[in-house]
Amino acid sequence: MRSILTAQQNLARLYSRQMCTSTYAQSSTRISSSSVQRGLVVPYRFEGVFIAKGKEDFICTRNLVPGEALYGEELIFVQNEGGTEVEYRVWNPLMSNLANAIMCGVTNIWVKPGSRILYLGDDVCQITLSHLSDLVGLDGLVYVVGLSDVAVKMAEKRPNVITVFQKPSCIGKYRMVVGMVDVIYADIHSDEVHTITSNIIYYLRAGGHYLVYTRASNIYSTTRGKDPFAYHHRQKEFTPIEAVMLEPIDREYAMAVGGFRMPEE
Amino acid sequence: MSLYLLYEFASGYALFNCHGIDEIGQNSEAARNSVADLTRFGKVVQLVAFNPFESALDALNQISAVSEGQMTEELQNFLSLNFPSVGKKPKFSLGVSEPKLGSHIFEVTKIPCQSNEFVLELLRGVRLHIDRFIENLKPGDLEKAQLGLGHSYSRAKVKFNVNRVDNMVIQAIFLLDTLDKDVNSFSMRVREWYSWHFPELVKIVNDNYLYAKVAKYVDNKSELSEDKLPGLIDLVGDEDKAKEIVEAAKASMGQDLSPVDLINVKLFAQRVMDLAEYRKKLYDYLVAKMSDIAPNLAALIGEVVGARLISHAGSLTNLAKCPSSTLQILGAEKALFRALKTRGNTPKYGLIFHSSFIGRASARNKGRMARYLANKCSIASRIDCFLDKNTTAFGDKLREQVEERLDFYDKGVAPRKNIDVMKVAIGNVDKEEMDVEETPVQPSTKKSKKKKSTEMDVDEAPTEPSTKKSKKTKSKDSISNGDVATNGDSTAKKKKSRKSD
Repeated sequence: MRSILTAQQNLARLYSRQMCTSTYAQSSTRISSSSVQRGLVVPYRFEGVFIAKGKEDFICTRNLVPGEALYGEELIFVQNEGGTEVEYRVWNPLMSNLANAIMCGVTNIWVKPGSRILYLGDDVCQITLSHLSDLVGLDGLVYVVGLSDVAVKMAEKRPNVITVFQKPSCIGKYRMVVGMVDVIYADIHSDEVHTITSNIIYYLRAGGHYLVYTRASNIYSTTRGKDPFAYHHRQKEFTPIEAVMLEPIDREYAMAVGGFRMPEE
Repeated sequence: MSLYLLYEFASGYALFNCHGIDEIGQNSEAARNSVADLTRFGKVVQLVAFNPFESALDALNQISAVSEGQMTEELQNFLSLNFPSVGKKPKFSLGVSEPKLGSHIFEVTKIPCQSNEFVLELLRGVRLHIDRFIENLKPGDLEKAQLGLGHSYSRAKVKFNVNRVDNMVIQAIFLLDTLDKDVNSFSMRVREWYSWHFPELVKIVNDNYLYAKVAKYVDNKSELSEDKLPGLIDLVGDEDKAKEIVEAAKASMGQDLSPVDLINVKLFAQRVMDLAEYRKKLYDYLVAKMSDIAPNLAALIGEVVGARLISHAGSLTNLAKCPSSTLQILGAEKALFRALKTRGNTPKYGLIFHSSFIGRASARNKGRMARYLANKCSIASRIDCFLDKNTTAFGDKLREQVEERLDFYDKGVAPRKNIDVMKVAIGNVDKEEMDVEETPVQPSTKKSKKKKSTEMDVDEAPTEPSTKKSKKTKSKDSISNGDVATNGDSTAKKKKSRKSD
């Protein structure tokens, strides 16, 4: 826990510094493996997520498009045993809700290499999207539904991203493109959960999980427990697993994790 | 009553027969349980027919229709092929995921459709196991089809137009710079190399490209005689110079080269000439592309400066998003941040400096012209980015405004008001539009409503984005509706078409 806290603070300091001075910085900075302690990019609890230890700790994912940094983030190169270089991209919790949740200690994000994800977004976060695509690797798929043209452009570089330029609430309209998914990651602003639940019912396989980024007041009120779908008429099918407050970076917001039609234990 | 299922997905349409229904009962709960296991589900539901889409374009049409809840001809044919014609009391019903599509199918083919929770559960099962049902689909095929379909659907929605890709301009301008450097260094090399043989030529012919040509023509200077003079005159253009060259060749101090060496030099000189010619062609290409994607910017500050601005900002949209103060000092970031850190004076101009206007302003007014020009460039780039139409009317008017400003600083001639100039510009734009089309503007907006959103041509009649433009000009134009009558009318029509979207 301690290391995560220091990592959080370090990253916050580093990135706030970077954001102040370089408005035009489009190039990535290469951290050679000497500044990262020798061989210390260790896998984190979640498959596909790594921690780079050094003077400052970062969480990172393995880069699917080597050599490219999307928004000026740092690329870490580590020498493999075989002599080849493996490249990791630093994941910034200040800019990405999912990284924030990981830093705040969510038990499991259920996103593994090879899984299929449906990303629903009112305002698709390019950064989260790119890291999700890194995480699932070439075997998995990320379907992105949202009205964002940056996502459409990103899909041209990454072969495992399928974008649908449509509102997430019009589920019927993109049913031809999206298949069944293992995880739904929902970043939808409205308090109305109908959009997310109908997407879940259509596209999430039984036993799949959902991650919902929402206001903390939606989840933490006493009657709701930790369930954003507490008042939904099909509530029995949704099993809340946990909720994580996204402090200190994102006050008043939380990430709720749950399962859909979980098999009886 | 047998239940069929219509499942539409990225590879095509599939029809399933649920004959095991009586076993599981008409119960969503039971359906859910049966879905999980493929063998059980396979007993419940069986594939009857599969109609793959013929091409990517076909798939795009289908998904556009399906997303609106409309039935296409292909779907209709597919259904009528597989269902017996329906009498008064149909003995089967078709399950679909969307009631809207269902009612449309019923209207046209009289096949009764249902879409309730039960059907949804069954369709979930189909979606889960679809790749197992259809034998021809190899693993990974379905994903590729989804990828392609998703892309083309999104692109159609974003109205992606191949002709208006600004990436070409960015690459072209980089290449132009690289080419310039390369041609220069190669030319220097040719000069040095050939000077071993004929040193005096360097002083006589200054131009690089010309030098390469002459070197290739002259070849061995000992063979240069009077009869080669006419050819030389053609090349150089100047009779005196040609005579000088011949004279110098006779009295030259340079050493002789073997034939092999001469051949090599000639080859190299030829290369340089080819590169120089390619550079010219590239420049023409750049000009053409700029007039495609950013005609107003090109009309205002010229193609090269415009292209440099676009490439520095990253794309035309990025340039349009910048505030005009950023545009003013694009390219002078080093000086800017240095000045900000040391609290000195920030630079007055960046890339904009290379346009002709700043050079023509007096020293006192350079900063003011730079700011004014940057403001107008901002306007021009935003018009280029968001206006569907391809017109230079605004760019020309903006250029006139900048000229007037220059005059004002020089002589004190008061420039026209912005409102008046813009009114004229809009008038010009409408006139262009009316010249292009046979019929006046109003009926063509009706036509544009009927046009499907999949059309990727540069529209001739203004469509949705230009509502933004006309709204913008409305706010500029304080004399609101009366003046720009046709635009006002078509805005109302477009507002209607927006609602129905």
